[in-house]
Amino acid sequence: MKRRGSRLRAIAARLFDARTMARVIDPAIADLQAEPPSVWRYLAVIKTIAVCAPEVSMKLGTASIVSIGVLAFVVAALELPPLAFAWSQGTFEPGMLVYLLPQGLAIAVQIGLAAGILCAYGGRAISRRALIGVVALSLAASAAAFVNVGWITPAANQAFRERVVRQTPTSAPFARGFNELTFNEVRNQYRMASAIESSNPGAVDSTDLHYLANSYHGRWAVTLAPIVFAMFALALVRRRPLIRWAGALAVGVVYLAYIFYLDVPVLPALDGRWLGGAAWYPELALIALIVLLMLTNRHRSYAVAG
Amino acid sequence: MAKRPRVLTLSAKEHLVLELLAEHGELYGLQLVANSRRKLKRGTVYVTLGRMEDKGYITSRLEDAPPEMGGMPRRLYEATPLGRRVLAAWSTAATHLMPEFAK
Repeated sequence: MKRRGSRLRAIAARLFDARTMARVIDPAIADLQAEPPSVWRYLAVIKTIAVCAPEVSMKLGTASIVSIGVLAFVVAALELPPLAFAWSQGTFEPGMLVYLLPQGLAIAVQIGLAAGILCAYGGRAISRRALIGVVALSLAASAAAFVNVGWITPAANQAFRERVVRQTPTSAPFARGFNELTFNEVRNQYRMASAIESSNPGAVDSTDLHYLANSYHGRWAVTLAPIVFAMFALALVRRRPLIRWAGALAVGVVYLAYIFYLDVPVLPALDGRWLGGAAWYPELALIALIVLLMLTNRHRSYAVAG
Repeated sequence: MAKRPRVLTLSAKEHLVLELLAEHGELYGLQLVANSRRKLKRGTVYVTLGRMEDKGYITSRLEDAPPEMGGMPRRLYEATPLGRRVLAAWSTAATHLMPEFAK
C-alpha cells in the first residue's frame, strides 16, 4: 500500500533538486504521514510545493520546460496582432503561424532564456561550470538571433505580407519594407542614406531615415539581447524570491510593451538626435539595471534552500 | 580577494522560530506550527526552516518513524549556537531601540 503523500512526493521530485527535497518537501511529507489523514493537511503540503517553486532552484529539465513555456507564450502574444489583422482581412490561413514564428522568436528567446536561468539557478550561488554553460547558451542564442533577424525573419515577414495582400481584391505587386530587407541590404541602404543626409541635410525623408536606422540598429540590438537578458537574470538570481520574480516579470512586460509601442510614426520622436537610438533603449536600460544589481549584490549574502 | 563578511538578517518568522527552538529545544516542523499560535503556517514553515538552515541559524537531524507507524523519517530542528547568539543580539537590540515593545 502506498503511504500518504507518496504521489505528491513523486511530483515534487520531478520539479526540485535533491537538496530541496531533503530540506523542504520530505519533512513536510514525513509530518503528513505522522498525522491522521486530512484534506487540509494535504493542501498544506501542496502549498509547501507551490511556495517552493519560486523560492528554490529547479531541476534543469523543469527549468527548460518553464523556459519553453514562457517562450511559447511570448511568441503567441507577438503573433496575435498580425494574425488578427489577417483574420480581419479574411485572408487568414494556418500556414501564417509559421511565417510569423521567426519574428516572434527574435523577441521571445531572450525572455525565455532569462526565465529558464531564474528557474534553474534562483536563490543560489552559481558554480563556475554553470556560469560557463549560461554564457555559452546565451552566445549561441545570440548567434542564432543574428541569422534569424538578418535573413530568416525578413524573408518570412515578406512571405506573410504577400500572403495577406495577394488574397485581397486590391492586391498589387508588393515591395519589401526596410524590415523585409536582409541584413546586408539594410546595412547598405542605411549607409547610403546616412551619407546622403550628412552631405545634404534634409534630402532623405526624416521618418524613412529613422525607420531605416532602427531597422538596422534593431537587428544588432536583438542579436545582443540574449546576452544582456542572460546577464540580467544572473544578476537577479540571488535576490529574494519576490524581488526576483516581480523584477523579472516587470522587465518582461515593459520590454514587450515597448516592442508593441515601437512603430514607425513614433521613431523620430523616440530617437531624438540619436538615429536608431530607440532600438537600443531596452538594452541600455537593462545594462543600467544590471550594474545597479551587481553593485548592490556585493553586499548580499542571501541564499535559500536548493 | 578576501571574502566579504556575511550580513546576518533575521525576519519576524525566523525570530519566532528561534524563540520557540530556544524555549523547547528540538521540535518538528508541525510542533513549531502548533506552538506558534497560528503565527507560523504549515504550508510555509518548511521553506522558512530550509532557509534558516542555509543561514546557519538552525540545524536538523532525521529521526526514524516508530516501527509500528512506519512512514518517512521525520526532521527535528534545533537552534545552533549562531542562531542563539543572533536571537540574543536581536532581542537586546530591540530592547534598546524600542523599550516600549520589549517583553
